[in-house]
Amino acid sequence: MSDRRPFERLAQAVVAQHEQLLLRTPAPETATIVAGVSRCRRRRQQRNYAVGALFALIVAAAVGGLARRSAVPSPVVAAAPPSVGAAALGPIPPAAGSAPLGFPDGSRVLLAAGAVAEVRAIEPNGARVALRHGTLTAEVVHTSQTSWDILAGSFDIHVTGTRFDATYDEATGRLTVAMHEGQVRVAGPCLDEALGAPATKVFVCPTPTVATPTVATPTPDPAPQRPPPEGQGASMPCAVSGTCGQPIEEVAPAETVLAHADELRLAGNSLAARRSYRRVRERFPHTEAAAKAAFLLGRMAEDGGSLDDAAATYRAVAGERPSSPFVQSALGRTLELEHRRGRITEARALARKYLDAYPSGAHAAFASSLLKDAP
Amino acid sequence: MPRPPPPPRASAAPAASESLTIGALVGAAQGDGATRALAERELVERFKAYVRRLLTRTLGPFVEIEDPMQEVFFRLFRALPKVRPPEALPGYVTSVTVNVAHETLRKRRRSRWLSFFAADELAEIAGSAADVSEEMRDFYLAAAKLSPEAHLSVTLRHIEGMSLDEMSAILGVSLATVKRRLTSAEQELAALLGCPQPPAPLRWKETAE
Repeated sequence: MSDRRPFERLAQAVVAQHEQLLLRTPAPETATIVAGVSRCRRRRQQRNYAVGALFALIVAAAVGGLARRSAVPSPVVAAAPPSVGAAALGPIPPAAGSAPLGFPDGSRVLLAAGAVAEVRAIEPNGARVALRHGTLTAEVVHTSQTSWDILAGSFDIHVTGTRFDATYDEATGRLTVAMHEGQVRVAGPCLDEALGAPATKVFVCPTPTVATPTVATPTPDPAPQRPPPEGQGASMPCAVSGTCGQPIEEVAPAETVLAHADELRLAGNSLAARRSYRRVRERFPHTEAAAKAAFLLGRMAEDGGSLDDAAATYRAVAGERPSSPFVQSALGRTLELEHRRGRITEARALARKYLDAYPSGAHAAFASSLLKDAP
Repeated sequence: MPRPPPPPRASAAPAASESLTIGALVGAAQGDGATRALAERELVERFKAYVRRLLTRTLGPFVEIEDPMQEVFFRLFRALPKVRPPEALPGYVTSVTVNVAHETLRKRRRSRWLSFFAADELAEIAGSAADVSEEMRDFYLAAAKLSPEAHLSVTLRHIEGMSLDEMSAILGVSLATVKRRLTSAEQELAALLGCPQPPAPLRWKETAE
């Protein structure tokens, strides 16, 4: 009789270890997946547009007259001024205010005097630029794969090929987009809409709620609240909640505010995300939502290098909601932080506490290693 | 020799037993605006653990599963109008997840071809992954040398613990094809791993469902 056991044993060992790995490693957050689905939709839409455009071009060429012109895709931006500096990740130096910044896809960004902006990502088919304050002129070269984002506060101007000015006032949270060519899509906590040239529009989401699509007098329009950006669902529908015009943080249930804060955090808007998480803690003290908010505030503080704040916030999780599942992770991260800060005695005390409470937890191996050489 | 029991299937797709039924969620997810967003979020919340487990088991611990997970839910939401009846969604989730896993394996194989990425180099990647046992590393390194179809057959059967009938339904091929693929995949994998294998007919008697 043949022996099948070695193969079976191996498979069973692999299955057993899978279970342990899944328990040890945190699952992707729902907000991350939802945001990813939105990105997939956007990419698919772009691809469909590109295929449609290609098809139209082929048909036009076949009909006649366009064959020669269709051979070379012409960028939307014509006669753009020569680029002086090549774009690099990080803040755009003030000196660049007088000359455009060139990107690998041929696009250019020009900062007006006094504007503050930062290049957050550069890819072969686009880039992500965060405009903190002032006016920025973008000339984005259109190709089938173009994907450009200008982030301004909680707004995201998504560009596939166009020329426009964006002015952002950090103090009032007001974004003005002046379109010269093409079309962009502006998304924010309270809006998600397309804007085509020629047009100028002011967008305002006062502690994100309502956009004001007027050029001259941007007064908030309390009546029709727009649907939330695709896949985000951060704001409650007016008809249901009856809270049109009021900040989400003040009226929405804890889960909605948390989801909204998650989206802001994932979009890189740390300031607004922190504000939303803090509001959850204030409005719903000692709840599971408050514990989660505290834990994520700790994560953000840790990511930002504020280790003292992070440790204090992690400690607050256990203090305010001892039964929360976030207590384990918060304790594990606190002991990691103490170790990183060189506070070995405190780290070892926390390691003992961790191992007593969670002998097979995610940080158990690390805690044990700290105690190995302990006196 | 009696065959050991199959691995536990702790990862069966969640049934429609929550407060809001799957049918209601599927309906709401085809609506507009905030209702749709909230329904989609709830569906992700309910199925993400299952999708993650199935992807990790089929693709192995060395593959980043965030993108495949997003792709699963993207396809799922796009295809919701086709799910009839809506209560069939859990089975549909399994099908979509397995399809995405299959594509991920094919893409990985293609990229390896294009970049002359030798299978042996996976060992370096595997070596860098912490907390992975030798058995698991050996298993998935060997599986990575199989064709995507063979890789999927062997992981669905032996790691996910699916029955042959389930595999036939999910992969959309006949039972005979499933058996043929599995036999070949097992033999190839066993050879790579250095495990003894019984002849196929004997094995099918043992594994008769």
